[in-house]
Amino acid sequence: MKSNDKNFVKRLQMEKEDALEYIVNQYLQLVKGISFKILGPMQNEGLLEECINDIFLSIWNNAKKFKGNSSNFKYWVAAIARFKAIDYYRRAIKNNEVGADYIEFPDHYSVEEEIIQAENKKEVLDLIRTLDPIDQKIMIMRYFLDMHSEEISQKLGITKSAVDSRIFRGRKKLNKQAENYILGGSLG
Amino acid sequence: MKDIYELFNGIEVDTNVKEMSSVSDIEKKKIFKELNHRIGKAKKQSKWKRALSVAIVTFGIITPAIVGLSFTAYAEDIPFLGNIFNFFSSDGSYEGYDENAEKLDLVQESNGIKISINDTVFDGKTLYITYMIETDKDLGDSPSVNSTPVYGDSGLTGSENISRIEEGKYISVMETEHYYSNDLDEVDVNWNIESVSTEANNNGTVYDGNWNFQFKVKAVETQYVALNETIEKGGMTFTADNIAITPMSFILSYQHVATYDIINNWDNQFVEVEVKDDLGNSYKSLSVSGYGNPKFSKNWTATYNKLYPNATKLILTPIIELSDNETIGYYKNGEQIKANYRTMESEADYEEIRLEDITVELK
Repeated sequence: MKSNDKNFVKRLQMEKEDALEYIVNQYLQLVKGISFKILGPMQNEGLLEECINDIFLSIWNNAKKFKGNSSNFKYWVAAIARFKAIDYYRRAIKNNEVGADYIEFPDHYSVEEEIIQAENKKEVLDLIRTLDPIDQKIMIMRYFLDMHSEEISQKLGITKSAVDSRIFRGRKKLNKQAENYILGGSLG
Repeated sequence: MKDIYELFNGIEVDTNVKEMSSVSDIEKKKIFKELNHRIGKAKKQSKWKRALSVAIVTFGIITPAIVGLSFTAYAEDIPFLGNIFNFFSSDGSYEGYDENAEKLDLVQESNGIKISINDTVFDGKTLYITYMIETDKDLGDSPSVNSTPVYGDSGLTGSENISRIEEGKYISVMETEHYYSNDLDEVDVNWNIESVSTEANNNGTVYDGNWNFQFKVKAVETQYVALNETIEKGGMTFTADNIAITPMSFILSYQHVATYDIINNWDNQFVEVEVKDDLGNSYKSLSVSGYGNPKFSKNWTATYNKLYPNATKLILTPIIELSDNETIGYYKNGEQIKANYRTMESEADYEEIRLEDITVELK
């Protein structure tokens, strides 16, 4: 049996390799387009290629977590592609080291900025999970997919100011929780 | 527990990428080939590992001597390194690690010393790395690599146990843990070794060099049991948070809060938990670590050896140890001068409070 537009999600979730071939054929252009938009300025072919491989591997490894049908699969793929490409971009930027003499230390980092910058985002995810579903969505779009308020408002069909105020409230809530969460504890 | 991939459901990301030129069939084939290669490798490896672990168990039951024999017999196919966990497992502490390990086979050679990292296992809290040192140089009986792997906010502590297995060949398991209060799914590990010395902390004969390892490790599948049980006694509040059960261990997270009375009267508070199951097995805590405000409260994590599969209940007995540091003299006004440590056979005050048992249903 071969994968087609009706059964490929199921076959992917059953770890059938022909489904992987199918999604590479169907979605490589999308994945490459999104990755290129973000990583293009780095002018690093190897990085781009590695990122694309990584995106497809993540789709393969996490296929069971996709909830939906063939028609909204592309949004899930696009979210992963965007998330991964941003991750690669941030890491690549970080590796371009600058001598300590040239770094200006900001006087103040907000807790939220720090947790967003934390390399592993699981802590942030744990915090985001405590928000209500619409705010979860907004925070994911804003901080994991780097989408701007305008774009988020269009996707969700609410006004930009509603998005902004929800981000503001979400941040406040995250800050409050983060304070008694991971940061601020000294080793004993 | 929802992870990022689940949270991506229902989020509509812009899928409009018209400006990108089309993708050729050759490109598609190339990517698929590469992916196929990677997933194929992962699949094959896990099967091979399973077969190997079954073999180990079977031989182990018949006679332990055969274990060694079977490995030498397969020496060409199975590098000795793959079984470092078993080598150090005579006390049962690494039972189940080998078959859950991810194979790395990273080799770095510098200054005539070859260091190879073979396996790694990450349980979400502690990272275990097995490695081997091979050299013609005389590194003595217990050399030291003077560096710990760094990931997340780890790198503060590490423990290892290096053993010489033959002339010029040493094996070891390195353990490091991070201090986040929750488990991590995947970590980027950076291990930069700059010297190997015949004694710990760059003492003895020191060989400088550059052995730099970088790799990613995914945590093993973990099942969480929420506890949220709180007990108060003698000014201490103990809360059991959860148990994370991995294929080769279980990790208990708990915390304690002390009252002012305790803080004013005692220098140190240490909290550990004895664990038994309903079959009468008792579990050894392999490591206990705590972080937080050293005076008022701490979050603790303790790693125990592998859970017996037939156990249906765990009985936890929290034990609070309160102790004072050494008195090293007296001020003129008669007040004690306290050290910031306590010796092993200290006669300074010590008190142990056993709290009532907490029973956890596993199934």
